[in-house]
Amino acid sequence: MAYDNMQELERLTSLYLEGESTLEEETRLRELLASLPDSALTPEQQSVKAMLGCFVRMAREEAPVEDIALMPRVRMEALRRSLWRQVASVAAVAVLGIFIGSTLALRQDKGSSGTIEATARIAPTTGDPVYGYINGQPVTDANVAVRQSEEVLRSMGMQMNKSAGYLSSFDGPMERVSAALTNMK
Amino acid sequence: MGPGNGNEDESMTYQEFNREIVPLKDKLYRCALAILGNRMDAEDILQDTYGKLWTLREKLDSLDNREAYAMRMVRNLCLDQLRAHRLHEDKLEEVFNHRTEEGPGQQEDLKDMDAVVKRVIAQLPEKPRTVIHLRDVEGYEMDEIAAIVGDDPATVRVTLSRARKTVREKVINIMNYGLR
Repeated sequence: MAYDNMQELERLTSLYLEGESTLEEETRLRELLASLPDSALTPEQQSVKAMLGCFVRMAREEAPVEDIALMPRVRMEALRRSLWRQVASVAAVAVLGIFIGSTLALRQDKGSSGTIEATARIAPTTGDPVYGYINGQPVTDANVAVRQSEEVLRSMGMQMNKSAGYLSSFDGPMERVSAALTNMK
Repeated sequence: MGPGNGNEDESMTYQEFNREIVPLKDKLYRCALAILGNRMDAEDILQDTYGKLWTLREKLDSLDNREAYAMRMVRNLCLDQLRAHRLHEDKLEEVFNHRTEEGPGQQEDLKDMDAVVKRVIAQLPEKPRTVIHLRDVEGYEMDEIAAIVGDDPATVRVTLSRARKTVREKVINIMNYGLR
């Protein structure tokens, strides 16, 4: 490597690492590093070369979204996602019912007999109390059951708030459609 | 909605939005991806961002730097999501550390230097990770980054320098000694 190039490379690398380089200097540094084989570079320069090369390729990544210019479609997609989440929430309600049912039964039974085992369903193989299921696995810990119930409730609340936001975004377009229809009459 | 129907202003706004805001989608998506580290979440944030930008399109008219505004919105939505999912930095770090302790298959992936650099960057705290992304991937000027992350340019410069040096050191270590 020519002496001048080596000096320039060292200067630009130093500026880059100090956060003092301009965008033009960073482009020049990238070009210099790309033009040289790794064997001609110090470990420090090799690592900077790897970083800058990676950044260039990262900048080529595109959003996996089609027809984003068609805003109604974007918003319908958002609504569709929201609806799927609603479906998921309904499924969660079923799980929640199991947990709440078990938890209530647990508390009622505590009041009457003071035993946990008498209220929860008993697992036939282990004989442990089962308060519900997560991913098909029985939950035998009452604290885990309560925490899961709380988590499902929290998640449902967040999804419902978000869905309400999406639906309210249709207010404006609907008003304009109504106005257009009125004008046509 | 065509000319001569009394709604030209609204039509112009829609055209401006498509011309100036929609083309930012790739940058906004990459920024969300850099902060969240998850493509599906990044796509969700992109949808949310465009929904909000469309709602606020009249406000966009009065902004000097709409791109910085959109980028700041993406970052804020990402931070909200991280908070909502309780994925604080400690938790993220724990997740990434766990991943780096995986078996031989993981070692194979990390022979790719891009994967090494991306993994090292993903281990940075959120702000340096965002700053290095905005500068080195997106090519923003310091004052633009300062406007996006809410710091002054001098602070951004220091954050950027530390982030770059950290990434460089870790990449050198991995090149010399493999994953630790």
